[in-house]
Amino acid sequence: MEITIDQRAHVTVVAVAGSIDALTADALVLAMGEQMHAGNTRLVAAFDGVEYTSSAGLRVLLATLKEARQRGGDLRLAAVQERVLRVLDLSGFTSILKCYPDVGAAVASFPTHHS
Amino acid sequence: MGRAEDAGGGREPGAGVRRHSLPAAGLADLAAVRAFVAAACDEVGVGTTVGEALVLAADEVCSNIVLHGYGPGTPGPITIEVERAADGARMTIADEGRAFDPADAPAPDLDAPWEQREAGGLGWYIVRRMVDELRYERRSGVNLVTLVKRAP
Amino acid sequence: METSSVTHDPSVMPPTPAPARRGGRVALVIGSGSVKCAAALGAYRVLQREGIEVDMLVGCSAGSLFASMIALGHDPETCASMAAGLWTSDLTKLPDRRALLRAAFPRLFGFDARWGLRSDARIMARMVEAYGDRTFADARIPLFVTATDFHTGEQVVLRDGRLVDAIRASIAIPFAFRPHEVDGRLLIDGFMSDPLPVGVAMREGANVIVAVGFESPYQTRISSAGRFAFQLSSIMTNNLLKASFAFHGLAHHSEVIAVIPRFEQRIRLFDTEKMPYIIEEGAQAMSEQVPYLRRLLAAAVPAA
Repeated sequence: MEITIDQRAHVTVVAVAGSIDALTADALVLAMGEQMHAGNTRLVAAFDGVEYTSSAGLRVLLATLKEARQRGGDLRLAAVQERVLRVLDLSGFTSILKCYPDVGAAVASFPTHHS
Repeated sequence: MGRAEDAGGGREPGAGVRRHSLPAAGLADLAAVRAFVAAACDEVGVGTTVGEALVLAADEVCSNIVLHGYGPGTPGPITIEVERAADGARMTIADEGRAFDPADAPAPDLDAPWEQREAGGLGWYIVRRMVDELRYERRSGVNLVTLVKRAP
Repeated sequence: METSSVTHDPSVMPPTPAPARRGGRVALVIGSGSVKCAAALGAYRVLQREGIEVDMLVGCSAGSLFASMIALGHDPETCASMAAGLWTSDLTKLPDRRALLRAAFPRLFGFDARWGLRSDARIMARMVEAYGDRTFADARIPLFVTATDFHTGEQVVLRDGRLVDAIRASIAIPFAFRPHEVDGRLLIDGFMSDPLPVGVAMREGANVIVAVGFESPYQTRISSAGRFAFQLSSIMTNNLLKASFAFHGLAHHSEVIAVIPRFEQRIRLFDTEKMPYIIEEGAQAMSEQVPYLRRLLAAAVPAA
């Protein structure tokens, strides 16, 4: 599993590629945690390269989501593949976080001003 | 590392049991487990919906066995079998770790940090919703989880 | 509709000045519950009195009626009288005569998804009278109304267009009112996908979520096929309510404060004459949670 960080003006895009399972999830939660501790709490997880996730991936998303929101930010998803979206839907995750068809839309969804 | 073998049955597509054995299973084996289950379902002739569900189920069950059945640092054997069922596929996963009935999956520990919580809850919930039958038995120190997914 | 100013009850102490709120966004979610949803008006009145601003409103089923009235800027008293005029038992009394024929002879009279036993002429007329052509854009507080896609079962969040259409979709009670089409989707009552849509508030960035929700009543006597069906519906709805609420509560980064009024009297679906009592119980239940709410808001981090 590969993780690429792309710092935009007001949002951090974390692009993930590969499969997220019990083995690879730790690396992802660490990467997300690192961003948030650095003050980057407006996160877009670009999932176009994620072909599979197990509940381990869901745990990472939820932990990151809660931490980001606690810090005044948010985690939003972009370009989730159908198979992964099915798992997100089944476990109720689509009801609690925003998913966008592409990274551009997800990035644009964050207000550009600082409140 | 185990290898996939076609045990029993004839040459016709669909027939026979496909088996994948891991003598000392670790999280690093999960990718191979998923690949095996996907290939087995394909050979057995069920559709992608069944395949996807069983791949996820195998992942969840094996993760739990590695992390909680045997415990990290003390790996043990896991055997996975896939065969055709009436209108779908049946998967059996056997291990010799501590007794773990999915029906007893512990409630989430709300105070523990997420990284430390029991792997039980969320994964099992998803598995239960994705498969049609889920059975657990323990026979002579062996845990046997049987899952059946029928084609939609 | 004229907006009247908030009237002060002379028996209530003048409100103490509210401490400055540091950035927590408050959502008021009003779930399905027929006339009991009026309890949310009592809760809102308390929040206003305490100087706690509501930053968003989410309404489901009858809850969407109250949520939209509050969002338009009406004070609780005006909302109560509007609701009393709208939500009366004769709403479901007008039969749709053709509907029974269609059910009995589907091939002869044609049967499709747009089916309901009652005519919605009365409810539509009353809603048009109350809301006119007002849209979501007329709401002073961001408003979200939930319905359910009849073909896929998914929750549909309505946030623009005419309020009348959104509310009509949200209260499209199966069997009673036919599904309502909005933007090419056939929609039915919001309670079928989630009777208390806390998730919507979470997605939209709320910190503290005040959730006013109700269990669907269980029947005491199963004396008709209608009651039989209603009992089944209540069983499923209540299980969905509990499961969904538990999940959202666990997944939310802050608190979901459940405002659960203690109704000692039995309240039937259209007992609008009991509204003053219902509103009082809602106010009482909210008051009990105010100190905790304040602490949560004081600790909330402003949006990044």
